[in-house]
Amino acid sequence: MTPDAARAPKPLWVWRVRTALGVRSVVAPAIVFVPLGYLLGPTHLNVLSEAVQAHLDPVISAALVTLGVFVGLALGAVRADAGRSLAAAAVEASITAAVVASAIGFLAWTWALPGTGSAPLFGAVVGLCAAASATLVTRAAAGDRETTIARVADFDDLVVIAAGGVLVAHGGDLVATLRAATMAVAVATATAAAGWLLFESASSEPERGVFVIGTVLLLAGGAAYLHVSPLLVGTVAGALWAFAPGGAAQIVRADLDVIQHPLVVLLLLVAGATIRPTLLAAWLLAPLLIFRITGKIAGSWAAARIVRDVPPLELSARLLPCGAAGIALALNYDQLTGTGAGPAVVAALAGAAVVFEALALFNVGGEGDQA
Amino acid sequence: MIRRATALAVVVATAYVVRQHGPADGEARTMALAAGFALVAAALAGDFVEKLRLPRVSGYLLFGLAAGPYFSNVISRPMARELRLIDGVAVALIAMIAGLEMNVLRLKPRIIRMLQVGGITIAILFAVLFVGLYAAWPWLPILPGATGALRFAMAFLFATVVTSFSPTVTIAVMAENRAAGPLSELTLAVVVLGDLLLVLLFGVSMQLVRTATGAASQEVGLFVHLSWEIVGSMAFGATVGALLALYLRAIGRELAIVLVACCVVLSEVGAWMRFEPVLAALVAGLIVENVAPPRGDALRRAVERSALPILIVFFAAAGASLQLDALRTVGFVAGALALARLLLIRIGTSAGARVAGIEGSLVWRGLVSQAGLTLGLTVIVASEYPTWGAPLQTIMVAMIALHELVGPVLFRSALARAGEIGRADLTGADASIAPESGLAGAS
Repeated sequence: MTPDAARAPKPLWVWRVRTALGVRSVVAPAIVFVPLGYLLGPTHLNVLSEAVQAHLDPVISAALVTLGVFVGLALGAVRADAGRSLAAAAVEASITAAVVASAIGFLAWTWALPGTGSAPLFGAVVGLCAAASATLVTRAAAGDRETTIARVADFDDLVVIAAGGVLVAHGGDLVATLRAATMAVAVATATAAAGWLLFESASSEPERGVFVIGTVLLLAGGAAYLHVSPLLVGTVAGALWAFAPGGAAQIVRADLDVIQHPLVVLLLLVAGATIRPTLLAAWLLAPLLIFRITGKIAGSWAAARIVRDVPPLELSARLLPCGAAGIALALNYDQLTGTGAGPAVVAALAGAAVVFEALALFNVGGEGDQA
Repeated sequence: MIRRATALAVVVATAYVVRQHGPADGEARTMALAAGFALVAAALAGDFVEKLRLPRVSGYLLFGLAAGPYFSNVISRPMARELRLIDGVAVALIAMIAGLEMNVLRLKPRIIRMLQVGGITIAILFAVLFVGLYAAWPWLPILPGATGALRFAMAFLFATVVTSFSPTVTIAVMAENRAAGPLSELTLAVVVLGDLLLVLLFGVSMQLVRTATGAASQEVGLFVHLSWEIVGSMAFGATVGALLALYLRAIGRELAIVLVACCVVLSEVGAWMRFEPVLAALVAGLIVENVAPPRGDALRRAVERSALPILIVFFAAAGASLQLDALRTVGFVAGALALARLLLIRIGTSAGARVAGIEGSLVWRGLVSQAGLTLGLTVIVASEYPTWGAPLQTIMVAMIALHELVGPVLFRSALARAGEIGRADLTGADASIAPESGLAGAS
């Protein structure tokens, strides 16, 4: 890129740029598509009515699997020099999740919030949703520091999806949770094995596309049928492909790249449409904003001691945007629980995503590209 | 081969185990599982069938049948019903592909002769079938008690559906064999023009049925209904086609998704507006191909990419929804109709070729195939009139299966006899859908 090009104003959605996970960023689009989804949802225009949302349910499951697959594939892309970033991301995400989970769990318990069920579990789910990050990368200043920030922002999704995927499926009951996790891993392993056998044997590009999309739908359908998290199923399958011999990981990445952007947009639109202006959602939003900032500052302080080349305050500021993984996990929670708390968590997360992404855009002065 | 067989076994076993451990069908969300299973397993079945020198579509249908409720029940009745949700999109996509194959400039020099052959063939085929079906109606297993206007309208509709052809099978066989020459061109033109005419006839016949059954509004007449449905559908299709052409020119990114989105709009909005989705989609394709033809082969690649998964699920769902118990009673009717159609096509093309003054003794062999478009038309009938549309669909699916097995083989033998196989390589002509696209037998 030339210096002139680097200085040129960027459009709000700059989704050509990829993250280290290969997931195109959803930082700025949340500002556009979440409010748009809210406008199109049952509360206003009713284009994305509840019936339409029910029809879109398999597509949302497929979108969640797709995100999970990209996270799983990223495990294979972790090189030796990224070990510190991975550790930093795990520490940062865990601290953020713990801070938010403790605060929300405590508030849910003391305020006796209706429909939230077990307060610790509810807090843990919201905490994990809040721990995910995306970041803006200034292209003009791209270098080691930017790479480190981008990696930390990407890798913290691993913690969110791995822990959240298990938790949201059958949270609370340990036996049921373990059984769900085992089923999820079994379905993912069998389907990933079938996919691995097929991808490289495809005789043409369209046939290969059929195998990839079919495998993703099988993963999504298996997860939905067994009431386990599609995010977790996708992550396990992605990780298996990443470490399997041959070119399965590259094939899946290339083919899913084509449908990824529309799926993420749909995810954001549905998240917007799920928003209901309830008291619970309003109650959740303010503490979520406050304690997420607190968690990110604390987490980034600890993470900065591991990666060393990024100042803690800069890291926390850059990790503020929520990204797709948190919203995806909230949608997954809503899909699987079917209680009044689900839409409230989605609404709070979507609201927080808009606020944090707006802050992030100011933070990089409109010059950033997404990572 | 061993890899694929192993993969198929794993997929079938996974789907079976998931179904065993999941809740009852009524409580489960089955769409994604059914679609994923159908997509992977039917694609593999199509591949196995192709190795036996049969069309892939037959493999998709046979897979649906084998996995459906009548045999293994891996795709249960509720799952098959959920899979049918994509029918509308698939039908619109097939019609749009047919429209994209009609380049008026390319056909212009020979259009009069082609119209003569096609017009006379369709006229003879349709007229004799209509009269025969009307006369034999009390003995057909499709609402035999129908009389008067209803019997007339239903016979008209049934004759229209039985007459239809398959442009994509024709194109696919030509592409696979690198065929070029007078027979290839004439056959393609007759098939495509014939289907354009039959889609219009289908709109008319559906409106006749609606009027006869009292489903059409009594406040406005048949002519108004027809005008709205046919002219409105064409206007709607032209608008969508123009917007798609504009998108191709101005943006041209993520075409596969945009193409599917267009088909969703044509199918869902079209149905809501009481337009004929098939006609609208055909016109949309025509507009894109003739008014603003896309540069390069991006659109062709997008068609290949988006069409294949949708069509596989469409055909597998059709196979899984096949009413085998009804087939026992309609098998004879389907066989008799297929034979009559074959004879009438032969008579019609001979008469047409004689009038046009051209050699056309082999053209009939290219007109036998029926597939996606025919199935799409019957699906529309079955969705709107489940009581008598279902046996009609069963007869048509049996006929399609028969024609799918026989049609491509017959057409290939005609091309070989005319010496047109491999001539595309010599003349530089190119068929529009590549053989590897897997679209053989799609419409």
